[in-house]
Amino acid sequence: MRYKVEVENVSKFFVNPNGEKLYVLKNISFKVYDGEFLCFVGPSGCGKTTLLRIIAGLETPSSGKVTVEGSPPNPSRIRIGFVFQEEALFPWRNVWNNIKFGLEVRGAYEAKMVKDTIRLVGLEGFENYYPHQLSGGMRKRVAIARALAVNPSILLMDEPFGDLDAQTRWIMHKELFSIHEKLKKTTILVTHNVEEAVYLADRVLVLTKRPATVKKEVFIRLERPRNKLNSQFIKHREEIIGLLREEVPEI
Amino acid sequence: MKFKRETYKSTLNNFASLVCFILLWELLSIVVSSPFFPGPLDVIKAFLVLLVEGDIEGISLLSHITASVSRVLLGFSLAVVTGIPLGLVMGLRRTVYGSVKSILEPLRFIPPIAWIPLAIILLTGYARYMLIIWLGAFFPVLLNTITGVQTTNPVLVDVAKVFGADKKTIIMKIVFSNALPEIFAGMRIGLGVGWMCIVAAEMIGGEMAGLGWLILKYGELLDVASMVVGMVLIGVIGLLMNEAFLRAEKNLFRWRKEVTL
Repeated sequence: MRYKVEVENVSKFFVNPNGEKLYVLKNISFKVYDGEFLCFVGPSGCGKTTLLRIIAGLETPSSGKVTVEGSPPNPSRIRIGFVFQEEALFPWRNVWNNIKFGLEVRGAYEAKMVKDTIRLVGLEGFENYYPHQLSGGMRKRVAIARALAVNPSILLMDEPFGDLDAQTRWIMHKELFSIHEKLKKTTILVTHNVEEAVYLADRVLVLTKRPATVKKEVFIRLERPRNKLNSQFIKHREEIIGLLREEVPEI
Repeated sequence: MKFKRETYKSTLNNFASLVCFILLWELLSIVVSSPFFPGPLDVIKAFLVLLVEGDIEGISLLSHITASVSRVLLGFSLAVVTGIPLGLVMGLRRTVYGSVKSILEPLRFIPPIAWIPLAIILLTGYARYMLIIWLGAFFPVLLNTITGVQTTNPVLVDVAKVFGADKKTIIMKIVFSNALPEIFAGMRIGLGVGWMCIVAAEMIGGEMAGLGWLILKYGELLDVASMVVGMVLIGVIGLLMNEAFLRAEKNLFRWRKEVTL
């Protein structure tokens, strides 16, 4: 099977104000298959976001190597879809113009692509709304649509649903599942929500606390759509929570 | 609905207080009863005379108004084309702003009127108007542009970077777009300040037209009513320009949750 993303021995440190090296990632290695849905779970502050930003090419590793489709991640060459943890829509652009942004930057704007993406995430009729006129869940849909509109090689999502209420989050899980079924995009999702990971992922990488390394990989081979009350589902969930508890006993 | 009713009510209140003000003024002028304290009726009369006959040199009121407005708009435009690019640079490169702060900050506290003697010595004709009005309008535009640039949300820059945007695209589509409401507010304030400098500018401009010049001339002639006409016109035109700007802001920046009015 072809690998979409390869991460080899990646370490990353920051220098703190006292001049000490603070490692957030230490010798992380893993590979992501084409079309795979991979989740990272790990204690908060363990460096998950940094890892994702390195894969996106927003940051460079201190040592080690990352390749996306065989070459170093370079946003101007490889199409990357990134859904940020924070509110990251352009408040001055309406839904349509937010979604078309990536295409516009790449000089590849076609109304049809925007239209298709809007249909995919179920935002028809909201094209002219501004972000502040939308609910939290709808804003997330716009953010996902904006990432997908460029037809990315990989879709990276950094705790995208962390600030949503439980009900909306559950709806978004289902939506994301059906989007993945349709597009089969290679997806890496960072989350601290174990249920979310088990519901969506083909494989879950459990990370240790800082500096993060891969503690364990858990394959989720349950049939989809998954039932959160299924005993196998719960078994996986408890296994991962158990692994996390070894890292952070307070859980 | 509610909003409309409130505006209606506020218009009504304003109309009422204006009427009260004019009545009080008239009353006061009757009590004072001095040729140097004209009432609103005298002012209206002077206004009509100026409108129909022009001033003592036969220059029409309209040409006074257009002279002043065009001077201010020109000086203001100069402030915009200098203030926005400099503000972008200084907002993006804090070291640049930091390095010239010791020049910039004292400079902006020197009132435009203090520049008058220097302007007389160094400049002639139209350049004098331009300098004085530019001095008034430039700093609000510059400082608001800097502030606007610095409020750029770094996540939005990351969004653009992930899509492979280059620096120019990021500056135009993210930084500038984000700063635009702030820049517009700076322009509105700058235009107001520039307009307020019109009398100072026309003290030294040398041309025999302009509202500021009209005020100064009738001041010398001790024709207070005509002088007040000039003052009121400056006030009203300033208000209209400000309102026009606010309207434009409200339309342009509908994406903002609130626009102050």
